[in-house]
Amino acid sequence: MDYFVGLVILASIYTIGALSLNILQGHGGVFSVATAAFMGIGAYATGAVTVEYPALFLPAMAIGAVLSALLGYGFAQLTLRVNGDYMVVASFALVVIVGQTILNLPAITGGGMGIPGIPRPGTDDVQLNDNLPFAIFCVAITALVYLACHFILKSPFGDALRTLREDPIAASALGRYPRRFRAAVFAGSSAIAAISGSVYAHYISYISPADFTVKLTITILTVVVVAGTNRLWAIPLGAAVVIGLTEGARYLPLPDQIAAGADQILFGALLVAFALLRPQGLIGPKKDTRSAK
Amino acid sequence: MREALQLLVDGLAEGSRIALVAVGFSLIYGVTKTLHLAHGAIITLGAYLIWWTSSALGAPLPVALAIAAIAMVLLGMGHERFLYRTVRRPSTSNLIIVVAALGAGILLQNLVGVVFGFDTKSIRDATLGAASGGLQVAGVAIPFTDLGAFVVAIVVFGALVAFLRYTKMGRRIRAVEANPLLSSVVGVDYRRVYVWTFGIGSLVALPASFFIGLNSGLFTTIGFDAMMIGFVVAFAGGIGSLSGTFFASLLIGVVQSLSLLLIPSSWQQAFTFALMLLILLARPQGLFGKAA
Amino acid sequence: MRLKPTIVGAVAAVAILAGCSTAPAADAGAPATLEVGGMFSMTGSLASYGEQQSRGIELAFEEINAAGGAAGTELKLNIEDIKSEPATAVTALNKLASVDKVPFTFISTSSVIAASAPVGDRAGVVMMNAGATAPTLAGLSDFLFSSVPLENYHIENEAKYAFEELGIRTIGILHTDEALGQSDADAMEAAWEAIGGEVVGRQSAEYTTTTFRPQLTLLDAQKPDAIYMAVGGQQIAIALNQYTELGADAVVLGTSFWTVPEALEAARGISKGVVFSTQRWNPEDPGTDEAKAFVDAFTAKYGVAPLGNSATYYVAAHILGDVIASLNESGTAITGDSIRERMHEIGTFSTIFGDLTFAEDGTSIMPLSLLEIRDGQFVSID
Repeated sequence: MDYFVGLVILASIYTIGALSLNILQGHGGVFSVATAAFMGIGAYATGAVTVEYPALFLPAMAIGAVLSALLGYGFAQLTLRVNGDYMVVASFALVVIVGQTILNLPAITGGGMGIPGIPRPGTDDVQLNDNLPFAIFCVAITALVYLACHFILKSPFGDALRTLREDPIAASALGRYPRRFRAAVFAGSSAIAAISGSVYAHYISYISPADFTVKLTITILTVVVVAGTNRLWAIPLGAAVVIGLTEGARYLPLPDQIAAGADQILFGALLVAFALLRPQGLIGPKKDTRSAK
Repeated sequence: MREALQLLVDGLAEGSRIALVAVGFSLIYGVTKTLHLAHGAIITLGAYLIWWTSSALGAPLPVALAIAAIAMVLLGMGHERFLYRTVRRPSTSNLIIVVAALGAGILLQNLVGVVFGFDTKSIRDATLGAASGGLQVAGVAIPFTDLGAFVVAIVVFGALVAFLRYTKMGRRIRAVEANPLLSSVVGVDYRRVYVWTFGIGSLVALPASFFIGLNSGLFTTIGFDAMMIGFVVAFAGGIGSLSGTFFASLLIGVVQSLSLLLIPSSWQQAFTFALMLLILLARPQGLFGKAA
Repeated sequence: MRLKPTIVGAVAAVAILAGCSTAPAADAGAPATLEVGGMFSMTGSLASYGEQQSRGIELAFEEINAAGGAAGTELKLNIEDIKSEPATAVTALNKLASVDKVPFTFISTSSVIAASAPVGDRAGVVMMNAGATAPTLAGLSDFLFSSVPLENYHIENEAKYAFEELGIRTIGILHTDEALGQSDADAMEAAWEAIGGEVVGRQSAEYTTTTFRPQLTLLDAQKPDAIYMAVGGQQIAIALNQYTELGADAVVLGTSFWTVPEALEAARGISKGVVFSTQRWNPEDPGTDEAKAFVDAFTAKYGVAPLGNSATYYVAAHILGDVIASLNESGTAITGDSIRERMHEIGTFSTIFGDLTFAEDGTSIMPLSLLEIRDGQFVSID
């Protein structure tokens, strides 16, 4: 059924976004809310290119990823001395700045009007217009990103990341340069977020600066919270839970007045519940072994 | 020239409203290190209570304000006592506290919408027409709402400083902020101080509910939107320095307004936030903050 | 839930089948109930409109169902809150199309429609817009119908009136930085210059802003005869109140969706007057008997007079009723395609606004009206 296939597509978008945030926060220890900004860059790269040249959807996605990586790297270098909660502030500022920049480049981005009519991926002969083939495409992309993350985290780079998160002083004593690593993590995370944005653009087909605000990051954050940061495979599960909850709210037989706010109320309650009862996420070690940073 | 003066007035008014949000937030964070992102939702609730008690119940404005104040204080204290204290464990990362705050805020904001309605409301009538009047000085319009926001912001700030300096609880709060460990050694119960801090921080936000409500009308996101600017200003101004936060708020309000003389209006937000980001990068402790 | 109208509808259907001669017997294939979607902003920045819109439809359906349904088919509205968010709308429309299997949905909000049009197109669901007016909506999909004139008609109407009747020569433009605000501002700038006027300033603000004061200050500094405010929803009151605070030296020109209670309240301080073009509808002075009956019924049911959006969606709901009745009478199965074709075949519908005709691209034109806000009321000035 198209509806459920649509939810699978949505889950892919959220999963890729959550992978991005998970790498950055859970493994890199960086507390950023700028995910939405990088999703926006990916979405606009895809939108701007594919509206004119639909067959170039993969290069478009790559452009978005590269642009985001560059911005992420640069931003990380700028904010080296910024830690913890201060990073929330700085990254929020970035979201606003990126959003307005998009707004002010109407030649590329359509400005406040946004970009309508973004086509599904496809060549001149074949287009993934139906939801099912497109969903398969999305799942494939998600799997690729997931595997990439998995292998990176298993590699020495991943070890370095974890050392960095746990104890930056020890990390620098071991000869790894925290700064360069942090910037690299940021770049990688931003590129992944951009891919999520590209998929979003193909699916929703209309994008505007209003779609890429902190609110979007909060949704992605919820997925990460539900999944926990310990098991990568919990992330698609987290996405399923979040989508299941917000969509499930549609079916509740509530009077209209309550129904209107119901899904957001459940959403907020979900966040509070996890924070109180299960901060390690759905699938986490029973004992929280992460240090306080 | 006249426009510049008018923009200055506009900016000071906006800055005052930001200050009323930022100062409470700054106090709470400075003392408890909690990123209380539910502050905005409490401000929203306050505004809706003012509306409800004055419109639906017909109460006079001072009564409405008092009821809203009590509710905000109780909610603020409740967040600390029941939510943050529970979530705050030695092994918990800051992320989880932010998550709890965001969740509580989203929950509260939408409860307000469900209970009172999601359409836009107005509290201008509650002021019995005072909100519509203003002064005209040298061709510059100074609405009473602006004047009120500015005066009240100064008064509230002054009262807060006095409270922190001259009352027993105020001194305890400052002690805990300066050195939690040492304070507990001398017998200050930091948990009680935390709860009080949240209460005070929420109380000083009541005027914010009122003046923001007057300025923009009531809808369920007004608190959140104000808080997002407020918290950036609080950090850029200097956590740990309430006067830093206060002056930074006014400054940002004015800069934001006057910037239109130089840049197109569609860049206004980006400019303001870029400025605050630069301040943070150049001085991580904030403009007026104490160096770490 | 509604039990009584179902019983009434069922009894009526039986009576019709038993051989009343007022209309051809409803085909045995006519469904007893038809569920259609309603995609409105019940929360979010445009929540005020959502409530108005759904109420208009609910009343119309009540009337239709009480009279036996649309030639025997009871109409039911399935509301999905789209929160003024395109992403939420796409999911909602997917659900309506593939889970609830509706052949038809009401829809609102320009940006939402832009995102939803391809979805409805693919799924073959007719989308009826009776509220959004962005000029970019024309021709987005064969399945999209707009039963309200798009904003460019209103802008031209307003510009003409302002120039010729009010003698206004210079205007400043205020707008929000999103699709509707920008396209309206562009359209007004073009229309105003085309008519021979001068645009002396243009300022914009972030689409969720709560302060227009700096922008209005700068516009005012140019001393225009009028200021065109391309803002909607919760920002109408903000802009008007804040302009009042600045002294409100100019006439204010609004947009076609200013028929909201907040506007009445906030316009009190604008001494030179607030004028805008909208569909020919004024609850204070409905015009025809049918229109008056609608106003009375709506006021009786909801306790408030029906404003613009309630009326337009009420009309759209009755158009749907006419189409479904027509399909039933000709024994045609009710699908998105058949609804779409029949709408074009019928072409012109008689409504409380007068005659409404759909063009090939799904847009429509109907009599426009200029309203002024005077003493807390909407007053027709043409």
